[in-house]
Amino acid sequence: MKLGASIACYRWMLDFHRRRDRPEHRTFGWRPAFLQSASPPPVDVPRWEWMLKKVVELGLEGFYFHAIELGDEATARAFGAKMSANGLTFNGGLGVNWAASADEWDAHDHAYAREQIEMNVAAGSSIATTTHLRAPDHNHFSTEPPIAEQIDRAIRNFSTLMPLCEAARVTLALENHMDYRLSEVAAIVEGVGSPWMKITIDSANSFLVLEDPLEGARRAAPHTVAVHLKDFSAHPLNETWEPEFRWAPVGRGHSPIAEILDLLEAEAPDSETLLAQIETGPPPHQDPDRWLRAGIAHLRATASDHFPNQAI
Amino acid sequence: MPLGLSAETYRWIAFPWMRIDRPAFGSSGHYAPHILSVSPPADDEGVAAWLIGRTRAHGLRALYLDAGLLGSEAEAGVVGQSLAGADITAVASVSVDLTADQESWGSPADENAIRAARFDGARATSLLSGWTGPTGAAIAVRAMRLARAAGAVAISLVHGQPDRPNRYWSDPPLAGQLVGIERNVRGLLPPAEELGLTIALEPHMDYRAAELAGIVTAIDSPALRMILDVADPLAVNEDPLAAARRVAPFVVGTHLRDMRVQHLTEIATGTFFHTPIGEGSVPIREVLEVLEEAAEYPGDLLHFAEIVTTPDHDVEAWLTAGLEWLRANGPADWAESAG
Repeated sequence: MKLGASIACYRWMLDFHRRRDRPEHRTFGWRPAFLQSASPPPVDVPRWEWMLKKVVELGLEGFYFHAIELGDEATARAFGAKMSANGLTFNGGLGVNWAASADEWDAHDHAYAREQIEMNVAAGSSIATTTHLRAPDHNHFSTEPPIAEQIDRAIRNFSTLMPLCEAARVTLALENHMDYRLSEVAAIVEGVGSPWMKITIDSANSFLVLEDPLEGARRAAPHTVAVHLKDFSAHPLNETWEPEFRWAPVGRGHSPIAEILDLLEAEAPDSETLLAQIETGPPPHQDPDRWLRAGIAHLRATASDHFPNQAI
Repeated sequence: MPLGLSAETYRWIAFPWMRIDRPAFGSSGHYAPHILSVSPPADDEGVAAWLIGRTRAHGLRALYLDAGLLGSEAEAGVVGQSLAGADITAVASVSVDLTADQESWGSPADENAIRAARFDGARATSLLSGWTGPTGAAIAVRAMRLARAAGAVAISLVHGQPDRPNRYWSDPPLAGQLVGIERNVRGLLPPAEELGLTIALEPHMDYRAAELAGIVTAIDSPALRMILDVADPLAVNEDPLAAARRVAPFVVGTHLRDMRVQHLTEIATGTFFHTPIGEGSVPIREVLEVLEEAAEYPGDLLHFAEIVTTPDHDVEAWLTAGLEWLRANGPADWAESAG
């Protein structure tokens, strides 16, 4: 496996609408961030440029973000060349309205998916993690339409993209993104039945759809080409009886990350090329750089058999 | 299939150690409940008596309450008379560390220890039980005797507490915790049978229903059953409907409450919110159908509305709305029981 990071690790530093150095950040009531070990780039510097330097500094093997952010094909190609020059692998990504109706899909969602796939290809991605754009509307808990119909719609919609993926030799890797269970994602992938349709497992997101992360991973492993290593600590009992999950650096929570890595080593289609991205997005007052470094150190100390290039 | 009330519904109003009218509540970090449509128990009114009054006011036929609220055995007898007079079926509960090692658990036949076990409200907090005693078994047996004195038909063993292991603890590992629970619960069956009480294991934000069902299956006694809190699976990453299917053959009662899973949030960890019954993500109608089909004696199931809110809410309004929903969506005889 190759070890990288998701750009979402630095979401409160880098995301245009989340940057905590914006004056309006203070008005949202977030706690202030003190004693940070990394600084964000100037606002006119693309966040992917900053992230590329960061992963080189951290000794990682690549990173993940959605390629549409690159803006145009020339920029995407230049980015891809820079990644290659640094020996890095780009885990591309795109956001798609999985459960769009046929009319919605044909009217605009198909075209938007196509545009994003082409941008990923230009940027040199062969695996594009695919998230669900309309998760607040269509998800495991929503009933209009029922989950079975949502899955049917996703099968239909993704099937229309497979010829393009085959021609461009890019695999769409559907991610369980706090919207669907891995068992449901696997049903979509099996329904599409294409070698260009796979899965990105997120090791914590199952918690939020009442699915055991390890059971979900067992279901998804034979289709998995990428994994987001995310750790949550579980707090089932507190004073108000409203359970909580909280962010934790990789290795310090309750996500069964070690077990999932073992599972993927044994059952993923190609564990050698599997892209593993640390994705820790602590609350905005925390130090994301220290959290990411802690996760990297944990994996280098405990999982170097899965990440031969990271062996200490 | 009687519909009843869980005392926990009024935890912020009636439990002396949690009441929102205590001066200390101002330091709790919670918003105050400025608008309430029910008054807390008067100083000279026992909590159990007040709860019986609320049960009757809502036209309910069963009451679930901590045996610690029953007082002494003599006082529990008086409560029992009130319950019988109001035709209310009671289930009591006791909080005890079911994972205790053999020494801490002790013997359920140690009379000295049983006499020393008691409920001390001054020790209780919103998260810690007031039950105290030399051993876990002594606490359990003491509570069983109080339950019997009040005429309760079952005693629920509640484990979940912050200072006790749960399924997420790695030391001891989950498998070892479950072995300890099985050993300790097995030892309580003789005194329970002697008292004519059913013991119920109740997942309480600590274990999955399926995990405790494994213990019930292993012990295989008609005196050991389960109470299913239908929202509890959300706290332990378990599908509520799958949990209901797994435990249905053993269930003698439920806690009916609801929560909404807000799976996507800005902070990206999701959030679980209490909701009035019928407004959340718990498939309560489907759970009731499963229990109706698969419970051993579905007509005898005791269903307790347990409307848990944060303390700033008007819990009476939530309870009223929840009961309306249950009477509209539950078994036909609930519709006829409106207060």
